[in-house]
Amino acid sequence: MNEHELADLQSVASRHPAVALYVFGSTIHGQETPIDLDMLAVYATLQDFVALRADLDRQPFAPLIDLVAMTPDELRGSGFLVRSGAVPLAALR
Amino acid sequence: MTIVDSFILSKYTSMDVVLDAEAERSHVRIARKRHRSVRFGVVKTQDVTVAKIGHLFDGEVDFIVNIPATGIFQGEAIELCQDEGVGWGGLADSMRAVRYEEPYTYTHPAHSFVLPALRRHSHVRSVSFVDSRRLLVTRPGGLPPLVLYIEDTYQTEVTSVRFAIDRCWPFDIFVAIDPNAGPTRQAVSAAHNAGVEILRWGETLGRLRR
Repeated sequence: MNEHELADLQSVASRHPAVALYVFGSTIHGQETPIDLDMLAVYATLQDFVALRADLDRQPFAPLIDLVAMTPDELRGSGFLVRSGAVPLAALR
Repeated sequence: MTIVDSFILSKYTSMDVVLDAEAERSHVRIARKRHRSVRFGVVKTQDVTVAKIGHLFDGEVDFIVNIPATGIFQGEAIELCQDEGVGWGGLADSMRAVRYEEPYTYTHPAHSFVLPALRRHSHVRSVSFVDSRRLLVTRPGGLPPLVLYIEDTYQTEVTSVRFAIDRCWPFDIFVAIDPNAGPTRQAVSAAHNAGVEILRWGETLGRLRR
């Protein structure tokens, strides 16, 4: 994902403040430039997630986003954040 | 109208193994540094059928690319690609396939993982694609056939279960193949509430015996 795409992605995220977005996988931990972007969306209501997904799907880079989506409850019991080493999207520059 | 837009071209040209990529309406020709040029047919659809990709087999074609990440190749479309010796998959798959000397030999990692194990399983007679998410497994000894929904996300969550039911019903078992993490407790509940059997990969191999 290049700088322009990252900026567009952060713009999408800003339109959906009810969904917390994280990035994990080879984008932040890999050596080579990854093909796709692994993301975690933490949503309170399904409507929030559906709205985010629809917005993401309108972006050209949508086919290259691999999205895991969890409610806060689901995330708490999963250990996903620790295991994946996910970082908030906003931390990416 | 060309299907191959500047974004798709830019993804190929940004790869270190690629010299250039050129749009040809519904195809993209990709010149590579170390291997021969290849030609990929491109569609944008949620439901890849023979009717939607038949026109792409007009001469030399190495790979059929479907752009939406949530698009599903139907079994008949997969069979056509296999019969024609052509690879198939999403945009990310096609970018991985560009690195292969012969892109048609590329197989999605989930299928590379499950197909060999199923085919050598003592209680499996045959495996075939229902679609790109579901496999039909026939079994010997009077055991009934099973349709497996293969989920390869990092951790199966409720939305994965809902997607499977909404887009790929019916199936007998939802199989979460990631070895590092099983389905979330909520995903298991969602599956059970919908009457869906949900198993991890190792459990599935045992389940095939009965």
